[in-house]
Amino acid sequence: MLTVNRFAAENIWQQPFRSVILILFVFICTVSLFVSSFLTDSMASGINEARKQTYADIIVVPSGFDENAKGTLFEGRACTMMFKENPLAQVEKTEGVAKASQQLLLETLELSCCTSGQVQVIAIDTRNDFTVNSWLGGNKLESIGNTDLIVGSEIGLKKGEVFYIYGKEYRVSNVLEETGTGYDSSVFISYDSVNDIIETGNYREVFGDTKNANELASMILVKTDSDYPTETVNESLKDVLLGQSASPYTVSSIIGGLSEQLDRFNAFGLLLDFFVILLSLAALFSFITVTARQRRNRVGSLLSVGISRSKIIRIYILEYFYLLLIGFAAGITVACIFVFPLYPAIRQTVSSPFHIIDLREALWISVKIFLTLILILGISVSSAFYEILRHEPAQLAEEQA
Amino acid sequence: MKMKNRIIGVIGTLIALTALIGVNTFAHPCRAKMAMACNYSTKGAVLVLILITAAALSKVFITDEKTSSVTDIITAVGAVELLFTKSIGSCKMDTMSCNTKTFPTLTVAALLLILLTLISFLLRIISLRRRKNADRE
Repeated sequence: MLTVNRFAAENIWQQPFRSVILILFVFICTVSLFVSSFLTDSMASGINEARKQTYADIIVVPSGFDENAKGTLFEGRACTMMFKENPLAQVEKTEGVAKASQQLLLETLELSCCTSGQVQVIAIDTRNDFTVNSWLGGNKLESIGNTDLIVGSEIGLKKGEVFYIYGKEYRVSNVLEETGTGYDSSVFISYDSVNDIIETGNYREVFGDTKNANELASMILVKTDSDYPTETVNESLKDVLLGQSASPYTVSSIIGGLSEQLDRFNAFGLLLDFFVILLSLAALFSFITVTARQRRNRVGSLLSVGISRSKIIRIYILEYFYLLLIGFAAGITVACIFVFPLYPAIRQTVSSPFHIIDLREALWISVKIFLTLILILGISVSSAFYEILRHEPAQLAEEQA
Repeated sequence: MKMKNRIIGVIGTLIALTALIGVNTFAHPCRAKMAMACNYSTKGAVLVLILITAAALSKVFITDEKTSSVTDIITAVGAVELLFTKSIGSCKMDTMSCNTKTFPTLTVAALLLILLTLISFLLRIISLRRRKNADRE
């Protein structure tokens, strides 16, 4: 017996070209909406994580190197940079500064031929660092020795594994959780271990004639006193460091810049989504309306033999719903096949903190896309339904001129 | 069904060829002076991709049901092998070229080929059922 389901399936099978084209439109719409949502939501998640994970309020960097610092902190771009004169002592004495800790940024010499991303070596002062210490969840830095290594989540090393930096062997003591920032592709060593490297005398081109690593610094991370507004402390630091080739920046202004970048990307994505939805709507509307006109005769015959209008409308709804479902399922599947395995490559291409969305967020994006497609379908079939409801069977069954 | 087999064959050939060209160009593994473990894995993957390309191409030109089934099985098995290429050998660090480009490219190609094989299989089942129903009537 020809049920509503079988009738709808027959309609799909009898017109394969039309069915495939409809599926293709839904497929393209789904992939486009999913990928743009994935990118913007992952970037937003990355910026939120960067905001949470950066425990410093102010960052002091060598003048002119703010973009390099931003690249290291948020984009995973390795660099080597140093102050001409380490301003740590002056920063610590500035009013409103609660804590200050120095870091030394070094690029790795080896692996440059093989890494598509870069590995940043960061030397930290284990006695007064407050950033990495917070990530480790306690005062674990005090026990870090000269041959210990803390690695970011992207390095791919496990606890106890061996790694060589500047000819010296290190053993991984801790693996940090993913932060979505440049620290994920960084390795952390103590300043004392940098002294060991300097003593070898093999890397003069990097360290110069310095004998004491504590004289070298690339960044000073500052935690402000809660009684002092961050902007006020930042202005004080600018005055203190005037003429010193060192510049302070509030973390909120750096993250604010990234948020603006995300807003621009978001706006562009929304515009693209709007055009994709509009094109899909136009395409589906024309296809469905033309098909309805072609089937007038058939619909008229069905009405004439006593099949109700509601049953015919249900056949139409099921037919297009199946096509929509197939296009949507294919679109989500293919989009996921591309974005999830290629996530490491996408992350390196995007010059912004990037933290992959979880399954729950991906499902929510899929639900929103599905509801959008249902709305598009609803609008597209309205003309066809109106045609069936408006005319008498005899009118529909008339031969087309 | 012949036209469907041809279309599936063309799509399969394009996917396999793109992956083959990709792992030798923009998604190549480490090109250090000494061959790394990932180089051997990629060579293995290249052989599998050549086999899949040949199977997909034969689907385009030879469209009978038996050959089509055999090429689908070869493609599916080859695609599953591509998924496990990394286990032959890879670099430890996640930032290495092989882990960010080569193996993800092979994973994407493998998943697309598996999806294509499933679609081919489903279409064949639907076609057989319709033929049975038509014979019964």
